[in-house]
Amino acid sequence: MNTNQTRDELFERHLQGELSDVEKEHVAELLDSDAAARQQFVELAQWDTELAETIREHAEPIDNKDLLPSGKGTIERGGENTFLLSPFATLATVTVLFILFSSFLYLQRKTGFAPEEKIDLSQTASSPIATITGLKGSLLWTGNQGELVLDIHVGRELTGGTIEGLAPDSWFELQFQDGSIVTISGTSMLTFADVGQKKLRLKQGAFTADVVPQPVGKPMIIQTPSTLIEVVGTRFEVEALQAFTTVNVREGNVRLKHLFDGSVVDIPAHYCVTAKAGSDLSPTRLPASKNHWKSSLDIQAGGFGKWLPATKKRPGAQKALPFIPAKYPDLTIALLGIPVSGRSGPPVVLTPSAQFLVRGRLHHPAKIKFGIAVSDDNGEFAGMFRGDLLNEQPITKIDEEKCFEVIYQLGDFSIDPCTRNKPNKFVGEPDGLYLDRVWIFTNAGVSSRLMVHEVELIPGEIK
Amino acid sequence: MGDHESKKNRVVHAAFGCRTELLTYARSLLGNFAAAEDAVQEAMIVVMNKYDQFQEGTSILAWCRSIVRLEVLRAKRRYQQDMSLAQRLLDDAVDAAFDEFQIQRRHDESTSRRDAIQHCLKKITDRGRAVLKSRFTDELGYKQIGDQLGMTVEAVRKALFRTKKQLHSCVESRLRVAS
Repeated sequence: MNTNQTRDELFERHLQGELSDVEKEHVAELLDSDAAARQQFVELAQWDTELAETIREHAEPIDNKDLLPSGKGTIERGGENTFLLSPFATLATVTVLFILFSSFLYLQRKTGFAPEEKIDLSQTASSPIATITGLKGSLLWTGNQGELVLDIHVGRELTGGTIEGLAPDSWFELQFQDGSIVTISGTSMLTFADVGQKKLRLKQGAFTADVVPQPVGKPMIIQTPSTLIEVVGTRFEVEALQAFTTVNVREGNVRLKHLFDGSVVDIPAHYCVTAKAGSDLSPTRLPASKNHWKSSLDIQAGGFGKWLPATKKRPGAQKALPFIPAKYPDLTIALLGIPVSGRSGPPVVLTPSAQFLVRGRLHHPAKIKFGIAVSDDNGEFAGMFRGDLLNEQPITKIDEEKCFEVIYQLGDFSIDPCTRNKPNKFVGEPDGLYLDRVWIFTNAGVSSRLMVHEVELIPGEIK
Repeated sequence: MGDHESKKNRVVHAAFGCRTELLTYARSLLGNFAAAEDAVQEAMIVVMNKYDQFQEGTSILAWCRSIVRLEVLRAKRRYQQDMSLAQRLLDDAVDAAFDEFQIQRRHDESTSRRDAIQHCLKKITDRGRAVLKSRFTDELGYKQIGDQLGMTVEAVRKALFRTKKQLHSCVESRLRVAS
């Protein structure tokens, strides 16, 4: 099959809504990087729709029975239904299966690891295994029967399933029956199950856990795209992306297996490991904190939004994407997020006189909203704050290049309205806490074309 | 007829003139024909109510597309469709592609194309037509089509690609002859 045919088929399947996440990423990358592909896509979509419209309007009943195989051998059948093996092939297959099984057992004993976990929701218990103890922002829960639930609330008992944080300000805390607490924050996706052993899969995002001692031989298992983490009882944080996983251990001990090469490492308290292809898995001591931070969008993608790598004409940027908040279905905001702590380098601590400087581009002048999420020194989520609420946020002006610069002082930050009703749960002020991530949005919808080139945290006043 | 009424007629008429283009755009974002038709329908109601916001002299297609985009987002919310990061990135890339390359066909051109498609559909095999019908009318996947028509998945893929290519060549050559 040639390249054009492969592309056409990919585009055609996209129009039918049949692409997997990996294929979606591939098509997005293709369209972003290749003008000819964009043109081909639009032309194919136009042709396909004209054809579909005509066929749908003039659909004639076709008697399918005339087209079905009328007898043996009249129509070529694919190999998928043919499973007849010669005695020799059967013997060869049994031998290969035996060798594979023996290798598998040997590898399992050698690494001391359970086989790669797959969380099968069909095997999860029907009785509740955990209770929601906190949540905020747009979240989507898919239960183990496949039901989609947007209306989830504190106190609701869950039988297992997948919880997805849809926005940078999403946050969700879950307490298992044994008292172990797990939290996801930001745009994250976590699948969880507990049938005598807790099994979780973090597809992407930030995750923290405070795990009570688990039954002997049944540690909590957490799978990320690149690692398998085994926990007996400890406090730790995980950040998972497709390319790498970072694990910071605060207390106890965590065992990590890198799925890339099968290597295994034990991470003690106050140490961390970043697992990525070809990297050294040796634990390093958790770095000391710093007070200054600057985004590095020239070389690294942000979180929520679309990353635009640097070109000769403009610096790297994170572009806002349209988003409809769960509580305001009639509102479309343009939203982007940038993670801070936990990625690389030391954690960032906020000082009372700190200021945030945000630089970017806007199509029209608009009010730019700014929020932060913080955690405490145990790595636990400690609340969210907004820098645009205390004083009425003025409309941000843009220059002739459509660029803007706006400053937010930490002293002006107030508790995010969504977390205001939980005063005992979270701290009242952000200073002294660790900065986890920032998010920026406008209410002007997609028309604002908001993109941010740089966010900088400066400990003192900006000169 | 007052100025407002006259503008309303012009805008609504022009908007309906690019219905297929809008349907193409909505389908590219929703991955479902019926849902795309609903979104375009909703968008047309918005056009009728907000015609006075259209700035004459600018592109009606681009203006309508921005309305369809909002209706698509609402539809995704309503149907609780996939809102993963991969999907958002893809939607954004699709949006940019349409912004850059979508052009509106003239009314007579659209009519000729439809006539040509109808004519060429008669020239393909029964099996080819059955595959197209299953794909476009029933919106079935390769495997389902294969199960229904007694074909392998690979045979369905090949038949679909070959039939569409054959139809495209037939339509283009018929339009060339007509012009």
